[in-house]
Amino acid sequence: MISFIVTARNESPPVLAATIDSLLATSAAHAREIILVDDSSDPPVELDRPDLRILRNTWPTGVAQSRRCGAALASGDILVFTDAHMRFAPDWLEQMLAHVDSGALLCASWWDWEMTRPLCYGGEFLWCAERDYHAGRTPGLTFRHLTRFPGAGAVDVPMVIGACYMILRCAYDRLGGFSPFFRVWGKSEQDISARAWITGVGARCVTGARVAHLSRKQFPYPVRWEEIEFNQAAMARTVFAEPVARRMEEMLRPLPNEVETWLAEADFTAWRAQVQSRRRLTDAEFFRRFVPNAPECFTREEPPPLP
Amino acid sequence: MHECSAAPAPPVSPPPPPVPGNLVVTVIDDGDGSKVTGITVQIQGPQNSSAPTDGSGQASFRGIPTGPYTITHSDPCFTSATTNATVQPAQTATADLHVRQIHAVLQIKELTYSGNNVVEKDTTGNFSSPEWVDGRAQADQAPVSYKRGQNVAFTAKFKVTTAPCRAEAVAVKGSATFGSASLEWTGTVTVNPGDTEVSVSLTSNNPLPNAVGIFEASDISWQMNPVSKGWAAAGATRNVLYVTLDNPSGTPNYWTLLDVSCRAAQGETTVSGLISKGFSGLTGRAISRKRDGHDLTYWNPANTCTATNTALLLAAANGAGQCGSWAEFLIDMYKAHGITTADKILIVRTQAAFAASSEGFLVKHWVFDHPPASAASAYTHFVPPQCRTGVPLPGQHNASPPPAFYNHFIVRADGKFWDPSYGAGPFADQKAWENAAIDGLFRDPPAAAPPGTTLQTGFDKSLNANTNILEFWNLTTNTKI
Amino acid sequence: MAEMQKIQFTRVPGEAPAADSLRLMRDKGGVLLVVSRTTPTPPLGANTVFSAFAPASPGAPWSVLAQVHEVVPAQPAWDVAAGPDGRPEIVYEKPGGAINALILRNAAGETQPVSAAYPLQSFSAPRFARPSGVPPAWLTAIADNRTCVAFPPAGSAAYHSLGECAEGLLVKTGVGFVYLCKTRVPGPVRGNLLSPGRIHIAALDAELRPAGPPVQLFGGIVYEFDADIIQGRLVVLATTPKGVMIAAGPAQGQATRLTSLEHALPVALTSPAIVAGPPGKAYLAALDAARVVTAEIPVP
Repeated sequence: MISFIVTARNESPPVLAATIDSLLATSAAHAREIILVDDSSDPPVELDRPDLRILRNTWPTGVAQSRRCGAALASGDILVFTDAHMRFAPDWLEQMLAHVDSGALLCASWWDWEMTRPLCYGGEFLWCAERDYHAGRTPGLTFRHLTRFPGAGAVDVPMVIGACYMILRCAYDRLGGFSPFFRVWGKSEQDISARAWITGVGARCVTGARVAHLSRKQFPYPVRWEEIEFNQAAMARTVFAEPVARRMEEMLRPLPNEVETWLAEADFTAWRAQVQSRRRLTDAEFFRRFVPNAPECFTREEPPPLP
Repeated sequence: MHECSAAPAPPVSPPPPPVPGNLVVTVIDDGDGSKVTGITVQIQGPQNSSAPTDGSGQASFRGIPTGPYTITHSDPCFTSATTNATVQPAQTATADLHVRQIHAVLQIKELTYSGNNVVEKDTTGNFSSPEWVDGRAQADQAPVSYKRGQNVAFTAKFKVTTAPCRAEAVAVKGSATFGSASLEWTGTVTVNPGDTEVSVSLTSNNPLPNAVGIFEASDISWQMNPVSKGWAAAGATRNVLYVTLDNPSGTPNYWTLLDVSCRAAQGETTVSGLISKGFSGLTGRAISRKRDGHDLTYWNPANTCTATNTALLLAAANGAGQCGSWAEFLIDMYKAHGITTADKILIVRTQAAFAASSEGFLVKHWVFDHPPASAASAYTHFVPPQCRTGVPLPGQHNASPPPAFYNHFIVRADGKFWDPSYGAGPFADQKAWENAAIDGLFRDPPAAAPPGTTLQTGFDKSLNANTNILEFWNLTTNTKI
Repeated sequence: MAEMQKIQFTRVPGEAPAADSLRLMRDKGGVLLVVSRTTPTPPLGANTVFSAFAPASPGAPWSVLAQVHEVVPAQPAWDVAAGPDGRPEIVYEKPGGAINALILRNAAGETQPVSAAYPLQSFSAPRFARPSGVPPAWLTAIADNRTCVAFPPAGSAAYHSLGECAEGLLVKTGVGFVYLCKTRVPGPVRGNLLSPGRIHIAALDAELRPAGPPVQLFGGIVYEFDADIIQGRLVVLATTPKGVMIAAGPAQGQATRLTSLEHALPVALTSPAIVAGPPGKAYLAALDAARVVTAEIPVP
């Protein structure tokens, strides 16, 4: 069975309904469930469709936690995570399913809303060294869309992007799912994609699977830079080993005071241990392969720390 | 002699060309008998040709081969037509081609009212627009409500059953009679060739009658007139129309409230009149809820009668309400006409008595056995067996309401008391109500009462017509009357 | 939520009485399931019988907890909780015909009026504050079909007004309370008069003053609801058009942070009730057409 996990917060009701209807129409031939996580929309989501269950949070937990919540409820052996403002080509699901047994984290090719032109085929990591909120930049791992058609089938990509991801349940569990620490929005794709490569799951773009995403000028809910910066710092502390984790965190500083407070309140120990215990790729290999402008200190192999 | 020396034969003269003829076709619009100019006429026969009609509506074909011709046109703005003519040599044949111009034909499709007070479907939500829809059963067309003396406005949507071939202005007209008032709605709408429907906002030329009313059979007859070619029927619409004394205030515009009050108080123009005549809608004790036709009752059935206000009475599946629901039903019925001066009156033995749940009153009719002797201001009888219920006072859809209460709600309006639960009133004062409604008081039996005693009764009203034994409390002011 | 995929309600064993209404409570002996049945007693009044059943002792018969006869034959709304002596106390509407008073009846059958200070007001839908099993309890009711009011456990007879509400329930948390409030919305009723509504949750401080804005708990319609604190979690159970809704979240700290999920059921239940069950479990009960059904679920 396929479990679709759709996260929504203050989504326009007709757009949300169209997303769900498009999912229903394109998955009709499969055993499926749709779990819509209403992340404290105001007013709450009210939608009645077959095979649809709505999980509602009375307070905003963010995209990553909503996805985790939905995945925890899901009973399918294939998980698909999508945003709530999407359209799906008639054959997109079959295209994706043809590659899910590889165990990799899959994304679709991302098209414009009218589905007339492709926007990207996954993404690649980029390192950003500066903090300039006006320019929309924070230090850490950002990304760039891969806009050139890379070929048919499922193609390895550094990073999934495009708001529609498919993965086997067992692979998702091996990954540990989306980060349990992430707030509101930001860095989810970087985090899960990095872990997908580091743990050997891998990330691919199924180029023949077309999904359209409604790009909006602004979020229908508040997103603060502090939330994004916290997520980046949390990623640094949990995904990467020493000394990269420490060096990365130094490069993120000075962090806003509120972020430092949140970091101090969080206990990353268990999650970090889980992530590191499943490592199959060194940090240096990861940065050499997937982050073309990574700082040199991330790419050199270091001897393991002394016990 | 050589054959070549024979003189050549003179050439054979070609046969003379056939003498052509002429054909003149006149195109006539049978719609109004006028000649149609500028329409292209086509002829097919020994020669095919076409020519437009001139200012006289005539298309001329000169010097065409003789023979039979079929005459048509292909103008999309006119109905198709065919005629025949035979052209003779050196003669002008004539033919008339009869056509009709194609004008827009409209049929009323929807009405969306404005300036009205939306009717609420007895706690299940407002009736939605459009209030009239073609094809919807008449019983499902939404009722509408207006304050008296108001003009009626709506947006009328017409289906274009025949589209014109070029944009044309179509006049529309609706006519209806509501009691003494004749209302007409007139307007003009432009219909373009590709239109499938058109809308126009209209307001009646006259206002509704200046009195409360209900109009259940007043059709609005619709007509349309494309480019002044003449009026033609365009359908009819009907919405039940409730006309209220004033705009509603302080209550949802519940359907049943409107129906009961507008029906009972038809013709009323004053607050007093509405209060009195409106109440007469309850005196028959036979009210049905509009949304499902269910009886609205007073304590029937008794043990599942839990409604205590208008909304709960209208919502309850069994339609059963306690006196509070009926008091508020009456008060809200007045509020649906903008009357907010009715008060809810609580009747108790005393405040302390109910608080201690010690004393209440006996609703008529109870029979006091003699002996023992009854008294005007003492407890004298035990139940059973010395005092028992008799023929009850009937309530709303209930021949036998509960015979005893600790307290009761009635309504004071226009200086009088009204008891909607029983459809009784008006009562000029408390004494009149007590004498009409109760036979005495009850309380829990004292310790010395015989075993099996349920109640102790007394304060026989038949001995005490002039002294009030209960208290009336005005819950609007929280004061004792 | 993941571990609670399906909720299976089953009939209680033995001869359960037909019931109009049901509540759950915890007393010294554990969970007690209490039902009521009102029958007319012509020519005057009606009798309401409160019967109790201990699920931990399925073989034991139902016992009569109380019988109340009233002159006015209405079916009373009521609630039950452990009194100061740990035994069941019942609060119920005393129907007056026009206005209802609230009466508190202890296990010994002694009664006291709760609403005596307000003789001109009518009270309905009495609910003891949760968690069940922690006496003494605040008591909420709806005054004049409009306002939720809270009567303190002891002392002053004056109530605190909690605001406009069709049905309310207080749940005592560590630092104050959460207040669950259902407001009516237009639409058809369930059964005779179970109105559709929306349920909001708000945090209150120890003095019942608002400590945060109300939040809508669930996007859909609810009819009736109950709640309890179970192993440090606030759990809310409500009946919905499709079945039931269960919402859960931490009872300490920010106790209005709940996650809700609707579970489809094949039958329409009434009188939903929830209480802490065996360790790690919540015990649910409801009525399926006057028959008592129960379920156990892992604490969400």
